[in-house]
Amino acid sequence: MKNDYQTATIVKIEIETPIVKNFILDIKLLARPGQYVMVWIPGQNEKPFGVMSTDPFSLSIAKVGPFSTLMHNLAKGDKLSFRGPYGNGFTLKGKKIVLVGGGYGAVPLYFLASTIGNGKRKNITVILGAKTKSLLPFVAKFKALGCKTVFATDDGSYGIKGFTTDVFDTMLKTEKIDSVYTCGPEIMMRKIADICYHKKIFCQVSMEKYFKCGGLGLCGECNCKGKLVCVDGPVFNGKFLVE
Amino acid sequence: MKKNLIDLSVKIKTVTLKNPTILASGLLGLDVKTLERVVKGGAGAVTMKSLTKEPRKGHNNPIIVEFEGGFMNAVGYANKGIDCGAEEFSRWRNVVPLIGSIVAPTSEEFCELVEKIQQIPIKALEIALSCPHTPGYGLLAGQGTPKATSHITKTVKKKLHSTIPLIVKLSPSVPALGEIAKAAESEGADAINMGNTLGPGMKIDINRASPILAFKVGGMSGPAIKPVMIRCVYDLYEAVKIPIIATGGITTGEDMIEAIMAGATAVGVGTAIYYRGISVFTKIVKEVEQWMSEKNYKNIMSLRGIAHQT
Repeated sequence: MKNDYQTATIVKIEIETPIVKNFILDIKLLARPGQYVMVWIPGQNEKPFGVMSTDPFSLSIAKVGPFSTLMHNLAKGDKLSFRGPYGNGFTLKGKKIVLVGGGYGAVPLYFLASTIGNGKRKNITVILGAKTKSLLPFVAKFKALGCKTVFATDDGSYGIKGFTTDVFDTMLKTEKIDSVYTCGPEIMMRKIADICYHKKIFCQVSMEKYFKCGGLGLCGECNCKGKLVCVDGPVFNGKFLVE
Repeated sequence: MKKNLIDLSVKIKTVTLKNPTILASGLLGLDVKTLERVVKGGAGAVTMKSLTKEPRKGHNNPIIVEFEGGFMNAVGYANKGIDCGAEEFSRWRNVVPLIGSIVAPTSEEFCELVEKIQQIPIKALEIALSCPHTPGYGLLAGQGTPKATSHITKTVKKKLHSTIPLIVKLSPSVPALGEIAKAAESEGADAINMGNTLGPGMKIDINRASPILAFKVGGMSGPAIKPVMIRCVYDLYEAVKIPIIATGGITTGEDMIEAIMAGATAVGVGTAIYYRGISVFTKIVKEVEQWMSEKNYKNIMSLRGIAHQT
């Protein structure tokens, strides 16, 4: 059945930042950028995580609570069970693309960038922000993809001192952008969505909500402005966040 | 015959439903906006997710798992509590009736909840005495007996405004079902919801050698349980005179017709939302209208209980 769990084996664990680990699995997954899976630890809990890559299937997990701590305790050779993928994913449009990520919000954006053809990636600008240098994930990975990168830290320890939203705002003064994809803290995404809405730039946001039935659209736990984030999202057009 | 001449409206005491489909409690019923979507999807009435006295976290995930004929769930009454819930649903302005739903471990606590929930614009109140997977509530609190049902119904009925019909939701998984329904009816219940999820059941993931649900067991819903529900409704139609809401596996128009022929006045729809989307209510209604127009039936209630004639 569609909602059965698949069990894979962890073949490699990368330390991305002091709080983020990438789990590389021994299987391929059929998924679109922006989709998520429900990861299950038997006898414990089940949580949604955005897909980082599909071949091999990888998840990038920030240690933020009890469940992700359990995940971080897993080792190479351990099993990892999940169901999905679920959700709608991003709609890729236009040529000049900007990705705006806050913290581990970079994960689905990295997946999106990696699916764009090699020759076209020079048209992608990635703006990534975090509190401080050590918490910036995927710096090397985005560079390796050949995207233009701009980094912002709250404390100025790496890249520009300030917020991704300011970087984006400044960038719009000199460059013409076709579409913007953003994932990170809601306040950041709302700001980006607001700017794009007023400048009529296509924008998509990837929402994070607490899921219970996760991907089935039955329980209603993830309701947000009349939408169910688990099935109607997690990706929405930017207007969704514009007040 | 033109379809618009077909009368699908039904009555549960004083409440008229434009069609017999009701969103079952526990699905999508956390907030007004989502319930308004269910109304757009064609529901004749909507039931909120059950509220408890205090906020409850419920069971850990997974709270639901699919099996061959439906789903099993053990949510454990996760909800924000009566105060928060009442505030949310006090904003209900839709013409489609909102059915309140409350659960409690004791009749005293039921009364406290009745006090609060009847302040908001509900058109009927459902009390579930039948949850199979939450310690302290329903079956796990011994509420699935004629004695307990009688006591709780009587106490709640005393507290409840006479203008708000009381629906008692029973379990398909207990003996003496007819006796329980009769107990509810004789203490003033205005309708029976037949019923809650079946079981509980269990599903084990063989790759992890572990039950999947965090609570290990869960109530079964979906097409697989429909024959049990139909039998229960059929039996209850002979046991009580009050309307019966048939809940359990209703997915298509044919399912609804079957339940009404067994004796139901209305049907609860839940798991079918997974299979057919939020517009499942409209789909069911259209299928019923089509069938009735082909068979030359004009009034849905003329089908009620006709399977008992043979």
